[in-house]
Amino acid sequence: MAHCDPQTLSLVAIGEEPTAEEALHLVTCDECRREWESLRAVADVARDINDDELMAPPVHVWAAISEEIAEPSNVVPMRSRRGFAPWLAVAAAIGLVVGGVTGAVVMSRPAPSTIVASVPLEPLADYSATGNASVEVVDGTEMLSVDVSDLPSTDGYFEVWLLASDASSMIALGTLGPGETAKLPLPAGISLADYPVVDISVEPYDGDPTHSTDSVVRGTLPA
Amino acid sequence: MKTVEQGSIVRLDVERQARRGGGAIMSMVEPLEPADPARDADAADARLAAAFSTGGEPTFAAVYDRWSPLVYSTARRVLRDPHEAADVTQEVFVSAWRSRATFDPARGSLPGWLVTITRRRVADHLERRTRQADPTDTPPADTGHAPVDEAVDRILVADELARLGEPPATILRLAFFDQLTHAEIAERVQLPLGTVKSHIRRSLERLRDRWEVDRGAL
Repeated sequence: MAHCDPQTLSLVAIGEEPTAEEALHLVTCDECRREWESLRAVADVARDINDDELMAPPVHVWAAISEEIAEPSNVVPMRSRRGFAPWLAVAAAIGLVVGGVTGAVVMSRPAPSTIVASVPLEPLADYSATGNASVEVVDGTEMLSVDVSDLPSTDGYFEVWLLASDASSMIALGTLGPGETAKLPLPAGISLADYPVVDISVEPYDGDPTHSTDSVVRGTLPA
Repeated sequence: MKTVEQGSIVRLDVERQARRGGGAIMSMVEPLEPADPARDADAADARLAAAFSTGGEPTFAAVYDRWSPLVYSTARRVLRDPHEAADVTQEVFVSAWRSRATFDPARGSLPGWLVTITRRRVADHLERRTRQADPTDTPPADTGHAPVDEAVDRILVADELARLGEPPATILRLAFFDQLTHAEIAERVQLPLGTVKSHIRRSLERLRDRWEVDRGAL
């Protein structure tokens, strides 16, 4: 007969009865039998699993880890030798100008950007502006990307902040023009758990570096 | 970090599906490929893995949120000691942070890489126990290996099961734990036979594929 239908193989793997014809085929066809056996293996594991199998570690573990990795002596190693192609070493040894070659490759590669957290920004008080903030990794640097539409007209300017949950402390990241998407680098080593709230304020041109307390939109990055 | 984001994606999918399959007429039509919430979760995992080797602490925190249950639960199952499992989790992630530049997403999966580090740390702990039990410095007995493999298998599959989304998770639960046939499941969840069969096939193949990738070298 023709090979077993993939749905049939799955059903037999979870324990349903094959027809006589399917059973005979499974005995004689290596391809179908291998597929069935691999599905049955994972089904056997799954059948045994308890509800409480997967547990998150206690919260103090993350605290201990972030403390340990924050120590300045723990510098991240340079890209490992494992990632260094052996042919490069050979080429270098026989005198090829590898610097130029690899340099050119690195330069021409576009910076990859990856969003690691994202939050909608909701208007405060009488404002109607809305937008989105996301933490992106661009070429290894973490940036806060903010995009807000419907910003109010103002004689001042807009400033992007990260606030502690209780707004007891804050960090000014930079300014945002109306209709702009700002990508602002995050200070190295900042913990977003300590400053999870993205806030955009209207600031008058008064030279006062502190928050005007006139916030337009806000959003809390997921913890 | 991801849970909120992921939750909302899954919710959207379920709503979309309810709309699609909600009406009596719609449920008579068997869709060829039902919606797949697990695919969105996969895309999020892939983004994290791609950012990991060059990312800073926020990326690392997201990686920890996503995969620390895998590491902790594996260690806890093997060592049968929550305190030691917490220590292993800390060791694994500190080591992962320090050597993250060596992780290459093209060469393997990030959970597979973390599982490999976990195996090593768990083996260290087992060895330490053996040495403490026998101070005469005889080579440690090979006690830990079978249970480590079994724990890794179970925890990896449990992690994937938890990420299937609905309705695939319910359908597989009914198949595995209540041992219902696909016809009985279709009756129970009020979905067409073909949809249930399709969910079973896709979910089981997915569990198998992820498991084979992530369990790494045994």
